[in-house]
Amino acid sequence: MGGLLLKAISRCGKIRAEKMRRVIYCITLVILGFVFPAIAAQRADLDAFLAGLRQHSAEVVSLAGPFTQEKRLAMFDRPVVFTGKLAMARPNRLRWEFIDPVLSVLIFDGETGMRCSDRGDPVVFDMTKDPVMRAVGGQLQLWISGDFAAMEDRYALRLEKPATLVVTPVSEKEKEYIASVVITFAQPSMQPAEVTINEAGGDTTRIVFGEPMVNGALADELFRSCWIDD
Amino acid sequence: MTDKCIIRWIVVLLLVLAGGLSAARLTINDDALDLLPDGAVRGDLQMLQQIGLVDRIFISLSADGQLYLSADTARDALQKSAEALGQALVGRDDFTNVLAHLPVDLSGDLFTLLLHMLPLLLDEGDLEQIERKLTPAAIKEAMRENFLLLNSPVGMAMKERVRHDPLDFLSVLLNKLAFLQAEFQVRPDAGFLMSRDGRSLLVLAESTVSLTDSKNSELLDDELQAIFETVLQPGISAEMIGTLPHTLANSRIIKKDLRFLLAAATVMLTLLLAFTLRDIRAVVVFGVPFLGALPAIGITRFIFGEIGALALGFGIVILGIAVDFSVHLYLALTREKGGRKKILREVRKPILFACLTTVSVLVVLLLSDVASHRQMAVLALAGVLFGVVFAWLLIPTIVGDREGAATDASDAAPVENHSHAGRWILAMWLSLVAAGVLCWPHLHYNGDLAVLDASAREVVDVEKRFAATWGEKGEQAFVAATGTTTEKALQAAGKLFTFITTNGYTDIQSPVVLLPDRNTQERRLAQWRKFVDRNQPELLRALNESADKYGFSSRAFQPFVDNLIVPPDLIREQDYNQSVFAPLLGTMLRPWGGGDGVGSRLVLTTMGITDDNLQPLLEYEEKHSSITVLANRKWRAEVEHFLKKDILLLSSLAAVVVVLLVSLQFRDFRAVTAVLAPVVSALSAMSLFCWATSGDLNMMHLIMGIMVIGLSVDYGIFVVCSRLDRVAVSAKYAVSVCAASSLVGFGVLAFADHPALYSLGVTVLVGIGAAWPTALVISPLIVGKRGRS
Repeated sequence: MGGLLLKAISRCGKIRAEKMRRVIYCITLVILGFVFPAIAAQRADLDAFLAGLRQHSAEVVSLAGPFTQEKRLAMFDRPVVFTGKLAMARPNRLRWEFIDPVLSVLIFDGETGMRCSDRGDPVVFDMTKDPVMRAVGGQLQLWISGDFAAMEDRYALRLEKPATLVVTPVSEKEKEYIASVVITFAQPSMQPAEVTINEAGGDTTRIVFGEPMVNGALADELFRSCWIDD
Repeated sequence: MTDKCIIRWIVVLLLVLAGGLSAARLTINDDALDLLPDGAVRGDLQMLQQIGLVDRIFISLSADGQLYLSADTARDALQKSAEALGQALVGRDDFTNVLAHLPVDLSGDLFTLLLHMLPLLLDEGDLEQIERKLTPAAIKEAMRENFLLLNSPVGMAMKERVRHDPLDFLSVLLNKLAFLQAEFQVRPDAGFLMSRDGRSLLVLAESTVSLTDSKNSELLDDELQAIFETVLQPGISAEMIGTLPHTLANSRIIKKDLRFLLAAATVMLTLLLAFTLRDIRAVVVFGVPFLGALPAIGITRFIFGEIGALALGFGIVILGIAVDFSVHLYLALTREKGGRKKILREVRKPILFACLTTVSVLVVLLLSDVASHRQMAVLALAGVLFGVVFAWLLIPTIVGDREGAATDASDAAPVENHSHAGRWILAMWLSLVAAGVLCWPHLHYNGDLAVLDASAREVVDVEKRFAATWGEKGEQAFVAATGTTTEKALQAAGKLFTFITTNGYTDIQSPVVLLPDRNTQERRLAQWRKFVDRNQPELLRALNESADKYGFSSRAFQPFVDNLIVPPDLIREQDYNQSVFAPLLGTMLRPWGGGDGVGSRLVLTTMGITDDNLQPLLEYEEKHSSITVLANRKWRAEVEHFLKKDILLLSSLAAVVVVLLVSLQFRDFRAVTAVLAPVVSALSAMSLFCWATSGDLNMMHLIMGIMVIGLSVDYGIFVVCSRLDRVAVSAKYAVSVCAASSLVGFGVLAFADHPALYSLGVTVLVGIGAAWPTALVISPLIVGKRGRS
């Protein structure tokens, strides 16, 4: 970079090369002097933010609430909007339920799970045998754990103030699927308020969460059966 | 010592030297296959060994529960250990087909690969299933499912699959892939073969050296332990199952047994000789016959080229029979009246008779179908002959001409047969014989060589843990389809697959599901084209209609439509090279050198086997020359049948030859009965003992039974000769010294932990234990106080 700049300037014939090197050296030092503190400050902000998230999430044993999902996929002519309910109980139980426009439930309960729609019998799956479900279940667990700092070996994290985390995968394999995940947290509860998943091909999924019930009692049935009487 | 004596020693030592030189170049093999009869079973096991199934090593890595509290924490350590272990094994010449992890995980690449190949992998029945997915109602339902799936959290992972296969044709193929199920219950995780509980990981390898060889196994085990120490993470341990631990357990138990028992036997034999012969020359008396071992080994090498370790060991043990002749000769020369020439003339007859009988028994063993038995027979036969000749030449040279000839050994029977006590003793002996005869039909010959396997408790425990972690399948059969080319082998395997799937076999694992032969692929492709031509217009119309209803774009399923139209290339073996199936196909499609041509191929199919479905499979094998069934159940029955036939035939033949020879030698019913009485006693006692203990006879009982017969008949001959001809009056004492030394030498093995050594010891202990008193008491009673001279 320095070499290219040197050549360009020398071609103008105004300054001799030796002098030019010294100037560039000084400019570089000045730039680094500004950039490093800025980077260090960003890192400190991020660490503090992640620590706050971890602290809040450690206090969350269960969570339940409504959500709205909007998918913009190349496979569909127009955006598809679903509304539903989410229930999560640490360490490894999750219920993802669509209510409108179609009833559908996906449950992860430890190593097993089930998928149901309003037609047909529930499809039970064993994550030890179903690699796709295992991968999806693993991802969901990762995201709901709240321990984003622990993801740093797999994802690059960037904080956008006031409370938005931009997560970018590191591995090339994962980049084939996901470009980035943008999570906006509600303040001061620090619960996820909105998640946008940007896929590599341009498809996007945006999920907006409603007011959640934190640490409320969740019926065991929620994670064992698709259809529950309200 | 006279010049004549010196010449004798020189001649003998030259012969021993020549034998030693020849024996030095002997190749000893440790091949367990030599223990099996010639023919089909042996060929099967050779095939099994050649295709690597015998030399497979299964390494189960486990995480310490105290160090790794959850499966998640154990996962990383297990996978790092497996990765390092795999790299360490791959870099060594002793290992091949190492599988520490699969090349790729079950990912989108796999589905794309299989979808592309789909038309070539579906048969007519599969197309019927696919046709049921093409009705407008089914298509509409599939579109609805796709709509839900894509909008669910799983959608992102399934998007490409839905685009390529919206009607889920792949599920038809995936059902068939159950035919590729691994032998173990594994959960692939990042390509590693994890256990269901996530706390163990499986690594597979194959040894390039034979693991039935104890020396190889020890070396390989040392190497593996050193690797484990280097590569395993803290708290991760490795356990192995397969041939290796069994070979090690057997060899170590034998070594441990022999270390103690040989020392005990040596001390007891020394004490016995010190008390009986009371002469340092006893060492020569016992040592001279064993000089015959070296020339005998030389002859065996000349005939067979190599010899099995078992045959070598037992051959030398059997040639120890020659010691009896040496002892008889020495005792006659030192204890009887008359000059050396007279004594030698007198003992020549019993020694010749006894030698002939022993040799005839060993000649019969030459007719055995078992290679190891034949090698053993040649070695023992040559050894006994050399031993007797050496003893005849050398023993007189160590005894002075008129030394110790004042012994007035009385030959009188302790009791007479017409006395009250004599009748009682005879009655007791007859009772023993009757009991032995009655027990004989109840004995079962157990030809399963596993009864001679000393699997240590640790090995059994490891196998139980392995089964608990990785699942336990029932008994399996391996079926090899061979051909001079891959195509021919695949064709044979394809026909076999059709046979077993239509005849209700279960737990089938066959590579033809993924790699059909070329003809089959071409036929299926033609069928697929007809199928698509027939259904395409209606299918596309219904698909577009339903897709539109759920808001799919017009190009949403373009990859699927393209795949329908564009025919795939025929599948080649190398198409799977980088796929998850590569290791599996590598073990199921193997080079095969057993055929006529170099570069032949073998395709392996496995299936569950029961008593009911084995026979139809064997009938299929009969009709198809390219098919070989490799099944334990088949071998057990066949080996047992062959060995039983072999042993019964040989035993009967040996009995006839012995009776015939003894009859020819003595030509007197009572004398013949008296000679055979120790043999009858030995066999009766062995029969009674086996019935009272396990009810089983095994190979060791029978091999050592032959030795016991050889020794017992000699006791009878020496005692009866001394009685009839009033010569060799020291015979009874000699018989006692010989019997006591055999009991001490071999009887201690009855205390061995190894089942083979135990059987050997018990056979000698019981057989000689009965033959000895019979020779001393019963034989003289039967023959009475008669002299022929």
